[in-house]
Amino acid sequence: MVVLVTMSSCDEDKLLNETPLDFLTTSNLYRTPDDFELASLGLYEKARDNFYAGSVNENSILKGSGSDFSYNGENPAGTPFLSNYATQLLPTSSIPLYFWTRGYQIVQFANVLIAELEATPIEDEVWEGNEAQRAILLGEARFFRAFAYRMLVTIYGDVPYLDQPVKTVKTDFSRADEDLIYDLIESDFIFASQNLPGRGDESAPGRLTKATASHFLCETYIARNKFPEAIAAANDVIDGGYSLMQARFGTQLDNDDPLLGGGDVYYDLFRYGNQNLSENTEGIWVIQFQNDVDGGSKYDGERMWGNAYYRMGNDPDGKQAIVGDNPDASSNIYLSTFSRPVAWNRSTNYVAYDIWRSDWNNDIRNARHNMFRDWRYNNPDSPNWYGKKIDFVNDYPIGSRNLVRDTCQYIFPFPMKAASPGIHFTDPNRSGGGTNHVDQYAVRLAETYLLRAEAHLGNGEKELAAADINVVRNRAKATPVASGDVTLDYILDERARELYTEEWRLITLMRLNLLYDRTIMYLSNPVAAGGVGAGIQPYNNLFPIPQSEIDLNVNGELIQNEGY
Amino acid sequence: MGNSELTWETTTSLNFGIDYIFLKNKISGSIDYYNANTKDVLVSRSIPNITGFSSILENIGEVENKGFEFSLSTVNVDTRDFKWQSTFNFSLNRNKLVKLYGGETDFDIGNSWFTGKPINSIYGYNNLGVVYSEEEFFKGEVPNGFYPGNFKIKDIQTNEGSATYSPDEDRKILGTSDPNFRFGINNNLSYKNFNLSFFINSIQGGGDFYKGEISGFLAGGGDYSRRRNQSAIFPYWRPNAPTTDTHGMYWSQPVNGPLLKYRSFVRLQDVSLSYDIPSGLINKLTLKELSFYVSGKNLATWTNWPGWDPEVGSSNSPVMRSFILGIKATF
Repeated sequence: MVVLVTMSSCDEDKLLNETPLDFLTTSNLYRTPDDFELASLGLYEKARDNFYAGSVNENSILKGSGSDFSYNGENPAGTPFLSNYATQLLPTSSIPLYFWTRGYQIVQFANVLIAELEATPIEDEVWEGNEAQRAILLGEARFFRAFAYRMLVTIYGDVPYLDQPVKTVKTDFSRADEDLIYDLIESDFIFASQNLPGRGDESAPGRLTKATASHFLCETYIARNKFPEAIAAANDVIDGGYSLMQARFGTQLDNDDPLLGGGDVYYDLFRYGNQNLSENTEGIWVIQFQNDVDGGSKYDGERMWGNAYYRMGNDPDGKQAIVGDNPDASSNIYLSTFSRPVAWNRSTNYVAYDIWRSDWNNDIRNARHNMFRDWRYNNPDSPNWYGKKIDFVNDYPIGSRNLVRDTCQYIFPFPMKAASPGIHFTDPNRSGGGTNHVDQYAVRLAETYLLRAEAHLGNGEKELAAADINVVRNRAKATPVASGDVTLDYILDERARELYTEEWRLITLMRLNLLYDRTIMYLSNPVAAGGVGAGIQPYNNLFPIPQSEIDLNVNGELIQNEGY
Repeated sequence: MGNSELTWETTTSLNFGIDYIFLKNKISGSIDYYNANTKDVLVSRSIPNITGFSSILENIGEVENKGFEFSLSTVNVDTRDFKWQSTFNFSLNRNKLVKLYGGETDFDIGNSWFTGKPINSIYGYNNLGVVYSEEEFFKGEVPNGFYPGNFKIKDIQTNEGSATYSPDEDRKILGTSDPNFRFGINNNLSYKNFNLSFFINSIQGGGDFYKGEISGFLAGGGDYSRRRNQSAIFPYWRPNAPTTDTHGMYWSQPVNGPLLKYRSFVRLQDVSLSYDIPSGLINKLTLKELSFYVSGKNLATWTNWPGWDPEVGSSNSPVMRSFILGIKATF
């Protein structure tokens, strides 16, 4: 028997070529204005979910955990938040890798969008009928590139410079001088401030406007000691149709929380549904959260910033101290007001007490409904204690309570601006379970005034600095500051009063090279594993380059920051 | 990140084998030797996150796999009522990275690829597996930043005046997760209408081979180790109850390496006992065949691996042990 076998082969090149039919790549995207929009919206989502939604530890670190603002109240001596710089900020740690990876991801995505936009000039048929859109999209893309680089250069110092998308494997990166990066940041923010829409002209709430770019441009100039330019950029914001809210406003005026017992304009700024209103002339860039919508995300406000009152256990008579975890109980009011916080950020004594002392009773930001301090036993079945203010030291027998846990986790002042009293959409049995859908300010006019004050101070003009600080203080009904008392420390204090839970304290302190000094002085974590100031060292004013990046960069050398 | 240059892997291999039968099938088996060389290996390569991506698919380098396999089947007992057969299998494979990026680079630490070594190499600081004691601490024999209850890390390069540990000088290849060799023994015994079979499986390490990381099982300071009660297996080091090979409660130390143990094991993997009802009885029930059986999988494992199961390694889930009771009927 004979068996004949023949074999033929295919044309290898044609066989391995794929035309994507059901997924998006750069080869089939960017054909219509909507395609470019899609790419830009991807950048918004990355910024929100990586830095503003709150549930990631590193979000808290960005907003001041482990520095002068706060520390982890649930687990003050342990990881995951910064309690020991010596062991948690190693090149192999996850914290440095987080910011590096997320920052460069935005840089790459922005570079792709910028390259595609530049490859499709205004004359191209793609833009027919939509010419104005191209400039706005390019402005948004360049804004996000600068936004990412601002974080990278502040946290790491000299970083690799990329202004083109990476298309093939590249392993020969090197650190570029930070001046080069700052030049790029400046030119990107300037372009954005010229090409983004003005206030009220943006296509949807939460999209970027000129003022957002000018605000960040002002901060960038301050970081480079270019104070006159910073003042000019701040002027562009302040004169761009924005003003601080002075009177009560918004959609929740009939809905003041009964337990909080009142409200004011500062309270209204942070109530659900008040951030996108056209009457809100103070919000400049609002991060959007939406319940019940794909991609709507959520804000872990109560989880991050509030105290876990429901965990405090029993009152001295052995009855549950605070009731309100049962949705049917009439004394449910604690839960619906405060939801379910987890004390991820316990304010330092500096933020909780020191900054308020001079105007304790008149500063509206310290009012009962804005900074809630009036924690009381509320169990009607315990008549001896019902309605009394909680005092761990005097109410309980000595030694019967863990005082560290009591003050770090269970009871401390709750900044209500991060919460959403009475308005939660998820997890109804736990009043939201610690999350809400209040839109969050990424940029608010009050901060612009304080940045301009900082620029005036740098320029040697203390009177003008005091005038700007007093715009903020007058709204808050705090006593105005005298120009002789204006110092950088004072401005940082005012930022704490106005912007705690909002500002990226890590970036502010690092750009001023004050992370070490202020952490040593103000981080009042009683059990930080690293000791005083969580063991911070002067070289921690820059984070280390992640070791895995140095290892993977096989054809080049990324030199590590000093001290690591 | 896309790669427009993806192409096929090509493998050239040389096989040499002998099949043998002796004594009218009472002894049979085979011996095989192979040497396979794969070029343009398709792998997911980690790249610096500066690119905006964490990995890319690429055809890289050249890998050599050589080894030998051996099997021996014997009929040990063959009488009218009782029969016993067994089969013994053995295999050994050695894997080596022959070339990396076109031969210019010898190694890629970020991907743990080193020419001349197995592809699955483990690289890092050398964790010695013992912890510092209080006596050593108070005598000043402990490096800066370390405390009692921290693991000792070998200081490979001692330089005067510089930091004790540096990523360039004190990290090394610590072994591989590849097995040293495997063997299995299958036994089949039948006595009258009873039939028993059982299979013993083993993977062995030793030397540089079959290492796994157990750092994830050590009780840390965080939430999960409390929820999983990890301290019941690995008690914390405490000043009043010090251990030698587990760390203290808040154990972050400035420099750390993977804690490696061997995953070698022997496992009673498949056991099955069945009874065939004699044909005389079942014919009355108009059945052709009726048998009862009970079988079990993963009944017993002998190993020094302290985690859940040596074959799953560092994963946090055990291997399922199962029992099946059954009736088989043919109509």
